Amino acid sequence: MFRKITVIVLLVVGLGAIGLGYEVVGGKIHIVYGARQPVEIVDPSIHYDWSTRNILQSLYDALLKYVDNPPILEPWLANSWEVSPDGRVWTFHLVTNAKFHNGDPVTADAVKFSFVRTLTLKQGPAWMLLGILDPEGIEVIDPYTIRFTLNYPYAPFISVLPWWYIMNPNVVMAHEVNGDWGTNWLRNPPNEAGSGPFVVREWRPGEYYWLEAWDEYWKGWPNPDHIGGFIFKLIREPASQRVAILTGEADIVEGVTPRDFDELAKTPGIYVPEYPGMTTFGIKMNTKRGMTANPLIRKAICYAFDYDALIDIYEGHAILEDSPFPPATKGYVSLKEQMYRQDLEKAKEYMRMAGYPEGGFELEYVYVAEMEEERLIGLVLQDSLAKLGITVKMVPMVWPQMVELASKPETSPDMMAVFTTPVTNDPDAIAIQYHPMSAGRYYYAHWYENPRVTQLVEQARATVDWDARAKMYEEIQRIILDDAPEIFGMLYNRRWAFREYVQGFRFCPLRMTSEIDMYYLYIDRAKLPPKR
Amino acid sequence: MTSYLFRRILLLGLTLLGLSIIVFIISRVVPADPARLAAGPDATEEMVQKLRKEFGLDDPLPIQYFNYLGGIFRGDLGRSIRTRRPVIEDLATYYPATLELVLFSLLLASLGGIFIGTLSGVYHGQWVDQLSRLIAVIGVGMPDFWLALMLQMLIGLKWKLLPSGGRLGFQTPPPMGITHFFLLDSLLTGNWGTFVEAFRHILLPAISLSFPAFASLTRLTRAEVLDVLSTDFVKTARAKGLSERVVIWRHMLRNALIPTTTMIGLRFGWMLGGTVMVETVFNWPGLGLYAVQSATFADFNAIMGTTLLVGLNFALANLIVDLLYGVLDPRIRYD
Repeated sequence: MFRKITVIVLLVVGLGAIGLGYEVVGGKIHIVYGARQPVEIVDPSIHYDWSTRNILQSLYDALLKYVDNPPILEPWLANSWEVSPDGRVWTFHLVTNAKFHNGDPVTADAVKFSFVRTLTLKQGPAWMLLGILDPEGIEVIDPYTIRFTLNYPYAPFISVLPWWYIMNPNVVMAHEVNGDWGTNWLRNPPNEAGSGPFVVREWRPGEYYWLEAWDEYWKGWPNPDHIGGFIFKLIREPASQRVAILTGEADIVEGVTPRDFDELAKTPGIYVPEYPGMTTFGIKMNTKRGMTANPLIRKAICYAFDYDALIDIYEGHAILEDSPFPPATKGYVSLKEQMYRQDLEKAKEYMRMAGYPEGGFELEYVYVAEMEEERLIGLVLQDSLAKLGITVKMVPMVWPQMVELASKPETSPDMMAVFTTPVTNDPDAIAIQYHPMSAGRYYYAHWYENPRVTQLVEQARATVDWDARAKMYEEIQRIILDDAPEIFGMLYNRRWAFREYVQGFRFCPLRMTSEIDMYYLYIDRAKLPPKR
Repeated sequence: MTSYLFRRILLLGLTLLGLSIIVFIISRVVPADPARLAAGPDATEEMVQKLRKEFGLDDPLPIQYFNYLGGIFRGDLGRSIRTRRPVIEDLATYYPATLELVLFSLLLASLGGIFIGTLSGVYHGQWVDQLSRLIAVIGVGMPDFWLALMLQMLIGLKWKLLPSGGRLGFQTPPPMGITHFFLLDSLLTGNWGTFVEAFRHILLPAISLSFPAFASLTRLTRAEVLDVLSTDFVKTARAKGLSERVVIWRHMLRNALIPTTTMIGLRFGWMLGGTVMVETVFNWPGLGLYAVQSATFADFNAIMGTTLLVGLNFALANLIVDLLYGVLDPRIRYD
């Protein structure tokens, strides 16, 4: 009996060899993207994060699209637009050949519906335009022309449009229940109402999401050998991702360790694109409470910190910030000369001016418990500030707790490790992080307030003339740097590992963390190994 | 027996009520605002308030608790603020995968542990015993996630003998959902191809999950067998001229199995609550990952729902074990 069972088990195990990750369907190659983060809600009005947007971008189109590095706004569903001299009225002309997956044309009515839906539900990307655009301000001029009249002049308006995806009102509202705008239906794939280049083939929650190329995509495909689809497969362990790309079980991975990326870059058959992102790392200091409320102490801390160690922690795959704005931001000015770099003499001088020549106090450094890089940075901080007689208490926390603490000036930590990714390359996306309007958000953990900066931020976002805006943003950058509300840290490089037959990757720093625009990917068949 | 059952079920209800109060308090004590997290990092205060209201998080805590309790009696475990779906739908999506994995692992651990433990006890001091003791020590000491990673990397990814993750291959549709256990459903529908595929997918995670339980069951069974071997009734059975196989498998093992049965019941609960590492490594779409994601998101309703479900399973497993005692040893009475 035991032998029989053994034989059966061995037979079953031996059945079916396992080949490479990609799947072949109808002669087309469907690649496997090994990723760590699941996708829970696929409703453009409700939620976005990098993995969700990887799917949303594939299923839906927007009026405009961000491409390339530095980012440019490419006309997509809208092929031209005009703005009134005062920056309040924006008119967009739509392409006439766009259609949704069910064949319905993409019209101005659909655009209006999508904006009204998101503004009414007040979730997901709604924050980008709440208070700036009301549903009443959206007007359909003709089937292919739409006009937005803003509540006040808002120059960055156009920069957020790529994240407002257009949904088919006929499909969504056919599934509306009790005035829910179809949310209960739309959030669950394979349900969707888009016009994007891919459609859902199979959706297995917690396991993988399989999207296939839509042959009738209204915009056509940039390459005849475009991918036939992609399987967004959850591989949560970095070590498993590494082996998956090495053995060909995955065609792209995003989450291996920095050291493994280095190793993969040297591996035949694999390439590792590497680009500086727009995600900044800073240590926000509470400007409202405790010792860090004193700008002299903050400056002393900024001058004491060992910045080179940041690059070492990322093993050279990062660059130091030389302005509060990341380089890919419009209006960025390099302030290399004024930037804080380790200078212990200056640091001690500021401590003397602050009345604490010997230090003698303790500051908390709060960081995400499971993030090794943030822990290492904390150790560097501890070592750097010890030279000023400041004791740093390392406080690991889970992210939800940190967000809650940062939401009030009384509870916001002395120092908090924060990564921030702006949603657009408009300077307003960064400048607003130093405006009291951001109160309650994690990146406002410094609770910084400077009346001049506040005034300039408001003035700049209401100004249409770019040259005038650029001057204001330069002043904003200089003032913020001088006020030192945070230790301006670094921008780490974004990396993926690709099998060499997957080509066409176009990096855009405004895509979140590991998001890839799958539309441009194609297969180099000369490099494609046979599937076993 | 009936009154015993009634008492136990009543006790089970009270246990779950107590559990719900404890978990409710603990989850609310943590300084985290699920509405702020769910609304997104850039959400305005107005958006956060809207979500808070929608999910009843602006009510006083006692009201929130009684609303929740009232919902349970209507079969409503609330909505997850992270997935925006009813928690009961989420549990229905993820629970069958975990339960299938746990039951299959428990089966492997029990059959393997009892078989090897018995052999080890019977052939005490011989090479079978030495080998099984070595395996048992390794099994007890080895963390399941490490074993999972090693199995996945070597057998799944490097040698490609078995799939490295998931419940089925990409192009294999799931069987018709009767029990939502892929192995059972594919058998019930006569879908042999899917059965083989599901079996191949569950093997590595099940081995990883079952190994610690297998090790402790081996040790326990061995100890019990050694204990029972020297008892009078075994000597009598042998003196009666019964074959060694009958003495071991019919007389001795039945008596040795009572502590083992308790251990199996306990292991079921531990496994159910501890699948997260194995699910993470093998990309197994189960409850463990759902629970962890809910906890990191301060998703109160999902945390409550998962805890109550695991608690219910634990309590039911204990009840079944208690009832099994009577089957194994007719001298045990329940009144």
